[in-house]
Amino acid sequence: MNMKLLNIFAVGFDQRSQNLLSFFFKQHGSGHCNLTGVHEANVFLINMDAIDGKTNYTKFRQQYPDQPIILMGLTPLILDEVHHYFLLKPMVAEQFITIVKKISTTSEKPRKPLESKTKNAAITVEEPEVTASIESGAEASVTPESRKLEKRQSTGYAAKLLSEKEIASFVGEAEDINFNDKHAVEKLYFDPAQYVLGEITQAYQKAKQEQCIAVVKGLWRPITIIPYRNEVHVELSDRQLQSICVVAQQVGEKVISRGKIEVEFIQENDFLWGTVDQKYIQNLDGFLWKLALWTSRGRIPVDIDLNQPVYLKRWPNFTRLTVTPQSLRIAAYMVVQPRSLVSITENLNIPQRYVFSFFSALQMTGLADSVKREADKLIKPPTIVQATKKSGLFSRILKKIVG
Amino acid sequence: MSDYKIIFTGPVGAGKTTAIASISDVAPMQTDAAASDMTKKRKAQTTVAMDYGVLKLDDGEQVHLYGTPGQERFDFMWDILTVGGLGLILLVDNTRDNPLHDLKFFLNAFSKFIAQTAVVIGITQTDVSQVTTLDDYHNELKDHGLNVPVFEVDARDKKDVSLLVQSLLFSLDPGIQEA
Repeated sequence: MNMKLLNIFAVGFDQRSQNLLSFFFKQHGSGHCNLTGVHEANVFLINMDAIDGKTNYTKFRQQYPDQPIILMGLTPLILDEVHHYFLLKPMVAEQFITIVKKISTTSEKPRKPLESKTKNAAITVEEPEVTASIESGAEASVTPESRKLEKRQSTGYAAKLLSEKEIASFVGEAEDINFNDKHAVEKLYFDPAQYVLGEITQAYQKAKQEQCIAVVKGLWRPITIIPYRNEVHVELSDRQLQSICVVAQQVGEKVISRGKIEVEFIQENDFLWGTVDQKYIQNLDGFLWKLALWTSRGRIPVDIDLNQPVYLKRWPNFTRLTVTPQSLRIAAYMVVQPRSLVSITENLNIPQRYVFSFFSALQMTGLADSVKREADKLIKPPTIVQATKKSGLFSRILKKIVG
Repeated sequence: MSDYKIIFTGPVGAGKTTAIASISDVAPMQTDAAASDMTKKRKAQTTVAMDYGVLKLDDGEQVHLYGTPGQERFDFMWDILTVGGLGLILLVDNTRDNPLHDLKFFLNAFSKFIAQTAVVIGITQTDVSQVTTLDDYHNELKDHGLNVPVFEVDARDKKDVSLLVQSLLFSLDPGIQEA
């Protein structure tokens, strides 16, 4: 059965509530309802707890006798014999969707929009501007430019939900190893300096220190690193970047890459900003994070001892990074006190590659490192992660918000 | 059936209501909507007292989401609201005059509750202003002896708010299993 689009005009709600309703319709309306002005409306939602709730209902019922009306209030009520719908506050998604479905699949014909002049007294109701910005502390109007900005940033920065294939590209597919097997342990390591990651990280650190811009050349397209804006200009797709990351530029003393990577450092005033296209700008932290994950693929940097404690300097900005499996859990465990990578994998009982990839990304972006102080090495973390009294509850909440 | 709560706090306009709306199973309600007609006539706009939402879990349990009033004149309610709470989500608006001052203020105001539970921090409006950076927030937290999650957050984005809540849960108990 086809569902009609419902254009809902809300009566008796302040600007803040209007914004919330608009947001709620987008979240739960499945694209079948919008908040609109009175002239475009084919459904009316009346706040019966407002000062003129009953008066508004009478007016709109008289003006639009055939139009669906939804009453909303803290206590259920039926005003007259004429059919209307009722939504109990606080508005529950299931109840709202049920009413939307009933209205949109009913045989009621939508009325024509209100004429500018009518015989009866015109209903003078303020039409607060419905904004896309829900809470700014003020009623900000939305311009086409600001909508474009919202769209660009909302697609660019949200933490990704990874598919199985994507997970494998970031953390590899290696099975857990026996830490007593020396040969297996040797294969766990990689040297960032022998990969493009090393070149780019060095370029970033130098550019940051000297407060300038670094242009990395010698790849398919140059990569422009702008540390003071936390931005990078890169015209390569993720697939191309990944393919660059996985190939070692050098193995031991042997240089095996075909091209030669060069880095040019340019002061801000001398840089040709005309060469920068906004659509290729990415968040620099997120970019370096991805490169570290792709390069690591379940391995750890060569200077890290598996059995010596490592520590988390601070939580990563997860909402703007690629979130690999179990990484929040690992971060929460690491932040309590320094722990070795071996103990993290064993005590949390999670695949080693998840821990190693995450740690590699942390270390390459400066958020974690090996413990240097002797005092920290003496701390013995608990061997098993004990469930707390509320572990069951937390797991249920987790399931709810992740699902 | 047991009920639990998570507290959202922060200055006015930081995004508490929106963040709750992003994950709540009900539309956030302003709890003084039932004011009498006499009161309503004195105030044209409904005065914000508190925002409320709820997460309905599979087994019938509910997790109540309370947004504290951002105005300091309502601070007497903060202690009442936090009783029995699981943890605190502090939202800070990066476009305010002194967001670090806001951070310090709310950390102090809820210090007892934070010590008993956990806090995570969401920085909103970072796309509008980047005068104060995440490094600045972390440095401020260091002065408070805290190393807690600090994320850039778009309060309208369910994934961002979900990550905040997830980090709160894992901060309370790293032993819980990911769904």
